[in-house]
Amino acid sequence: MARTSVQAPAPQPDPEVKKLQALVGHWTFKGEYKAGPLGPSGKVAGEYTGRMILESFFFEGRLTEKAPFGEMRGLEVEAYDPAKKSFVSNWYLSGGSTISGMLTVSGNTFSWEGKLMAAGKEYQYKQTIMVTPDLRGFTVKAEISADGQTWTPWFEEKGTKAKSAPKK
Amino acid sequence: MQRISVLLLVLLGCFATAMQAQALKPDPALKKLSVLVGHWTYEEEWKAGPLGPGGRITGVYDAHMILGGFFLQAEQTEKRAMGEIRNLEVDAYDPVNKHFTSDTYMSDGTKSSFTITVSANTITWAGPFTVAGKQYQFREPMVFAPDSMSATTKAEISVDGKTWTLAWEGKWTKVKPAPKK
Repeated sequence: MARTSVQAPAPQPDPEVKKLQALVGHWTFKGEYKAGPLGPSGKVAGEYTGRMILESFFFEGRLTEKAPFGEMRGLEVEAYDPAKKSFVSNWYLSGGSTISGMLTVSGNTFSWEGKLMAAGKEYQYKQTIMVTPDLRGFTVKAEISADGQTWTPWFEEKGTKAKSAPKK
Repeated sequence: MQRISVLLLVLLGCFATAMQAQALKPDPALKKLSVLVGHWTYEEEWKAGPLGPGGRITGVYDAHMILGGFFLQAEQTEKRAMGEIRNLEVDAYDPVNKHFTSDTYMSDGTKSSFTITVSANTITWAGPFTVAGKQYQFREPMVFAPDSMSATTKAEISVDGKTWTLAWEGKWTKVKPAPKK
């Protein structure tokens, strides 16, 4: 609804956005949630689909997983901020949780840091995805903290690319 | 002692389950956004200013609740003098600060993040944004007709938060209401 883009000839996406290409495709993953303030421990399995959207200015991830606390779905949007030279990350999760923060990319390592809002409480959030050199697999670790000093493991997962990104 | 421990575990388990069940219900405040749900068409008259040369814009806007009803997602396509722009909007309720947030991702690479307030028949988007390195304030109230099938919008921008300049005015018509549950 409210949008404040300038009426100007179409710009091109920043070349930095291409760094997210490694996440594009359809992935399946398995792993484990750790017991903590967000719920009990237990196995998790799910699917994740990443694609570039809106003239490839943004990356969209769609997540579905079966977790110890039930099924969770999520929508992720990554936007590149040329002023901050990093990605602005927003996750919207079923159950009403949100994650907002920054994503930095170094090679095949994707590191998120930000704020998790869950069940009316705010946590600090860190997540690192390492994509394998052949771009067919990944490992992910996430941690949360109530005070930004003491960090608790939240989940660990391993994923496999089930379907490549469509060729353009 | 062991019985007490077992009882405590059972009680803790019930509490945790209750917490999760409670957490899975959207905040009642989200119902305030339901007036946006549906398929809309609109016409707007943009004024020349920091956002461009101005002109007439037409568009369509489709909004629906997603992820268990916790968020509103809208896809918007509009025709401008410079070409077509598509947007993805996601609105969320922040129960801590007791307000809505609205993120819009646009096909020209722009991202805006505003706060939404809802009062009676008016939904207002407001907040700061930056164009060409200069920061502005933005506000756009959308006033709905009593039957919620049409609305008017009036967007304004300001450099100092005191003097406001009209950015655009629009008329919106809901051509397809939200599906009945």
